[in-house]
Amino acid sequence: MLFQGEGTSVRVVLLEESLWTNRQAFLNSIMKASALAGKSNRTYLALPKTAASLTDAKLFHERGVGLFTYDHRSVEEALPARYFEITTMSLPQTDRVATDQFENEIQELRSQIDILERTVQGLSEELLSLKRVRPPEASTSSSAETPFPTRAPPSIAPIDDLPTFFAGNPWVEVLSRRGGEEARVAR
Amino acid sequence: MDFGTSDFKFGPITCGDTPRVLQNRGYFPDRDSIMMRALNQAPEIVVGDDVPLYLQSSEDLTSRLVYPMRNGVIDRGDNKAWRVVNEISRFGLNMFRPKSEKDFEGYYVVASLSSVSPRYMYEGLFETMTEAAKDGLVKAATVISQPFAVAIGHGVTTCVVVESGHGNTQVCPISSYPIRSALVAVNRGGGEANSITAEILKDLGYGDLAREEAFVRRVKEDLGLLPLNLERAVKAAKDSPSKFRAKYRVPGTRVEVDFAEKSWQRFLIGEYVFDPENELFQSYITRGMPRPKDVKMGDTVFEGTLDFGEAIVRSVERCPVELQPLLYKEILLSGGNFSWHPPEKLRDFATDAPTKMKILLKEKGIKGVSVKMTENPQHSVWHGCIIYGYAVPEDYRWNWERMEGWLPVAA
Repeated sequence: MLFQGEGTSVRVVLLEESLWTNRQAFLNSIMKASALAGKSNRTYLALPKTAASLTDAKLFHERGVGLFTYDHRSVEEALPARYFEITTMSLPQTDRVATDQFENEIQELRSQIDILERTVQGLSEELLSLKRVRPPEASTSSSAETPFPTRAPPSIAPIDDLPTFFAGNPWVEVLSRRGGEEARVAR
Repeated sequence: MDFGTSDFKFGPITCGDTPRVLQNRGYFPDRDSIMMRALNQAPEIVVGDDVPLYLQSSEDLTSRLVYPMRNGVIDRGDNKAWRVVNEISRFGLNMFRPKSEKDFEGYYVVASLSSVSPRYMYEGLFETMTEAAKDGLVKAATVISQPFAVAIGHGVTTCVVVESGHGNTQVCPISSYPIRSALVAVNRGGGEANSITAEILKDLGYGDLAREEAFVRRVKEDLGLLPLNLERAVKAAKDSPSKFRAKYRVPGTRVEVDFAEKSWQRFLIGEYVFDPENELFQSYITRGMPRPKDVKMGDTVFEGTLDFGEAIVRSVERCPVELQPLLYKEILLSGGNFSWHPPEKLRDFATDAPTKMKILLKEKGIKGVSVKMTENPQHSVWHGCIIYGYAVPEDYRWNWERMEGWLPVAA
């Protein structure tokens, strides 16, 4: 039986009558009840007062399991149960708010990273096209003339690998247009 | 590849900022000598660092040790010089032959020659590259002029490059392309500064030392001065010689040169390079110092005594009027002949090459010019070659009219 209220849950395990007098079965029941600790805040075993005299209070204490005794007149808490934090239970309201906030922030960061990745990709492509040494028109200017062997375009080489005297040198662009001007004139 | 007068600078883009440097020379051992026969291993020609290992008697050096680019031009029939060019090119290419030749199809070679080199020199180099291509070393080749390479290496697209080496000086305007029709060549370089230094040494009583070219060059570099104004500097030095006095001692020897009371003559050394027409030089010429002559090399006439300011003005004035102000705004000086360092205490009388050039241009009525030394005079030609080879599209074919583009040489 599970009772919930005011942020606390209490589980009460009622033992079958057949188990009251079998010590081994009784101990197994206590073990099973103790295994439930953590799924509710407190766990109790409920026994008739007549059977309770057979129990060992030390065992209950070690396992953190409480004991309810009852007869036809009343129910009493013979041994109090230890309080356990619940792992599966929903978090208190304040924690939930904080968690929601974190989740929102993570979501926001993910979307910002997506935007940045797209921006970096775009810039990278733009940079490569700027570094491209052979303009498209140059490649069409005299290709029909002879099947001159081609090499990999220099633009493939990352700028970091180039000697320092390449940095900011306007000739790289000027020379890369060689042949292109004539093709434009011809057209 | 930069075929300089003294050094051959070479290497692929992977060399970074500094090329490999070898002396641009080759040695032809006497293969008939007993020693060489006994060893039976002397090659026909030796280039690179091994040259000193094969040197024989000093009498033979003149004929056997060949510097092919002494004046920037090789005679068409100078077979020995062409053998050296061929061998040293192959030596350089082999040095950087990739270990794994799986994907190697040969290098795209950019060679640089003096701007006054005639067409047959270009053809000779292409022939050399075609030979190297048979061994898989070259795929395509091109040749650009040294001033053009300097402009590229320096990163200036509109400028005048003044390249002054040992034998001559070339003034070449550049506006995205070298303007060949405006090229002005002067038959004067570091060699002329050596000549007048030797004459001065003779006058000072060091005639025996004046015969050694290396010694003369050291004196020139250590004691020579470039005057702001020759007359004023000479007068000041004559008035107070102690202020201008300088000595040069050859390291590790007892040999010392002291200009003493004649220290004013230090200014003649620099002035003679920039403007040899001053009457102060007349007495040396009268006594036998060779006067720089006008000569024709290949297709170009080199004027002997044209001052450098006038050479620049003549060159620029052959360009369109609209372009001329832009050219004056960017004058680049390149080459060891412009390496003049005035001592701090003589700053009122001595100067550096860019300032002297401004003064010469101002005398011609050209003001507001900008004259700079190339940042890396030793390697700027090679830098230009590397950038040219990297940037020019591979389908930009060689054309003899524009003298640019790639010539495919691989079979």
